[in-house]
Amino acid sequence: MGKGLKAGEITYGGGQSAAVAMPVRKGLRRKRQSLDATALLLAPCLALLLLCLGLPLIVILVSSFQPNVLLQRDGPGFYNYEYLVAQRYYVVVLVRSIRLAVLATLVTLPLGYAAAMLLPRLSGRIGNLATMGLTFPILAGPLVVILGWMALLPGRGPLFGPLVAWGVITPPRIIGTETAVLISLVHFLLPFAILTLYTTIKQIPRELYEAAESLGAGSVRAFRDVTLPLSLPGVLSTAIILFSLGASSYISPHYLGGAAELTLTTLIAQFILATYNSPLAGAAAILLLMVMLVSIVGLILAFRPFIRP
Amino acid sequence: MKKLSRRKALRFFGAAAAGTGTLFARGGIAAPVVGKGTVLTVSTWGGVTQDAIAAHAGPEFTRATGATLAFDIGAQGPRYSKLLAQRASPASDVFFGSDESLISGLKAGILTPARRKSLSNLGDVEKWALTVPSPDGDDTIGGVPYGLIAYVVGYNPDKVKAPITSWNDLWRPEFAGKIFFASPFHSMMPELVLLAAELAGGSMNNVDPGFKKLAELRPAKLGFTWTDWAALYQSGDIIAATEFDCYLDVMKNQNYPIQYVVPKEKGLACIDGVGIVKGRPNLELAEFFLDTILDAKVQAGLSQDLYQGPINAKTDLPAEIKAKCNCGANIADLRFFDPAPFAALRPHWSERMNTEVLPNWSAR
Repeated sequence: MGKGLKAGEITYGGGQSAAVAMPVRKGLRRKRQSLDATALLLAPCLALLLLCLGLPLIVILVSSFQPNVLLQRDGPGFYNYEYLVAQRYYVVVLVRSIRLAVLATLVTLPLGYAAAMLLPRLSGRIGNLATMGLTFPILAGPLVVILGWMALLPGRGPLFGPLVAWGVITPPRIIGTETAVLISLVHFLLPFAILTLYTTIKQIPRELYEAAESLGAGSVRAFRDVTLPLSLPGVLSTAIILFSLGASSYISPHYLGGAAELTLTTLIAQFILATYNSPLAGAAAILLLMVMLVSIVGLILAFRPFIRP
Repeated sequence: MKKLSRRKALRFFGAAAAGTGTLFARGGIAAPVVGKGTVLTVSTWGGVTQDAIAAHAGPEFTRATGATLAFDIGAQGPRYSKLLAQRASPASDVFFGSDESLISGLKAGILTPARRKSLSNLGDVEKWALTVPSPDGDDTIGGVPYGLIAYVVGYNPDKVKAPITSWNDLWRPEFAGKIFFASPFHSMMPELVLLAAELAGGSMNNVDPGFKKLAELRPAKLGFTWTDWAALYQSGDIIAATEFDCYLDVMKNQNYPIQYVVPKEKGLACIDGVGIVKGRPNLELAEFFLDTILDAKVQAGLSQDLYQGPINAKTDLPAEIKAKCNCGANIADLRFFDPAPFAALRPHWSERMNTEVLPNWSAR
């Protein structure tokens, strides 16, 4: 045994000398130190998540099993959940929430992808202006976006009013329907799609395009065989972000959909703010969370075969 | 010159403070002198309501007590939910809400009654306004009224030719898809359910016809306040709406082409009030604030700014303000409700709105 190795210690590489075993041990020690440092850096963030997300979720979960003014029982149980899924109207509300999230994702993703591919080609001031314009909804916030659509979308408003006045169309009813909610959702989600996909596409090495070109691939082939497959992880992340934001959106369904087109988020608000029924609101919230988690896992499993390691 | 000793100085200033308190005594009730730095937090609606309370009740209150007002503003639902969530340590001292919400708050244990002996202006309050009884007996009152508004029907006189005279007119075919109606979670929902039931031959004991009748309505938009439908009204997509008269007066002032009518079945009276939040340290200060709100001069200022009917019988209003507020002869055009049964029935009726009415409203 060489220096630094105690009797009985495992040697590496089938009995390597101490001069080789020492750097390997040092490497393992460095790796463990690196992991410790990572854990230390992550700790404040995880503690904050636990405090500000984990604890409230536990409180909501516990509350969701309690009796309430509509369902008076002797102790905790699953009756709030049973009640929600037994009411046909609430199932309709759940399906509507998921449908809007899926549609918003399906519409926003290709639009965001196209914009993300175009942005790198715009240089200088035009590129900066385009970036600012496309990301303005994030800066302005969802409420400003929605107030804008509330002014634009009335059947005789500034958008459709001239067409109605000329007799081209009859006044469309958009405000108070899912269409209005979808329009504002896509508008608000687009910057998230563009920014996430832009980062992904920008990281694809230029050399791959040069190699493809040298092998005779045109732009369509280069997109199909280089850009698209390598951007799929980014597409998946973007889809998850868009779906999550869409399913949890409150302001769009509240102002543009209204009380006749409830989603789970506005239903939860109704339970809390109108009938002060926290247990039923908690059950609806946990139901929304479960459905979102299942949907996201399904999305990941669907994408997995197409993402190269 | 002899220096003033500490004991004599304390005696002097104590007497001065007591004298000042006596100067600001109201009807024999001395204002609690608490001094600068004390803040009374008022949970109320924002915008013009907050401004009016700050302008008319604030100075009188601060002059009398030395305390200042701070505001926690928002819609009634979120503020009430906040009190429920913070019941162990509430942040507000007084709560503005509908009389129904005050009754619910007393039952939920987040509000506490006020002592009648602390409210010198209570004797001048209109009898029809005292709708919040105390659960603790006649020496106390659950909450005091703050103003009277009425739920009526507004319409565009350029687009609605046949006059609207009845609540039943909202079901006219010409209004299908062109009216704004209160959301099922609106504060006036129980009253509207009862009204619809009575229009359909039902009653408080039989509201099933009311839900059936509401399901036949064809609203274009549902919401809570005039700003939810103003843009659609301006564009002509909505030509009639159910709304509070004070908001319709605001719209008139902003030159919207709108008139309103009190239907022949009467307008729906809505009494808003103020209650004291349970668990706060300054009960006497909160009671003095309630008494300040009841004061005739403060009521006149609130009516002028908010177009709401005063609840103090001695309030003196200029003629042009009186014409817009619910007071005097206008009271006869209003229907008053007992809020207690509505407070108990609201959760159940809300569920029936969700399951029996909303599916029809979204199917069109």
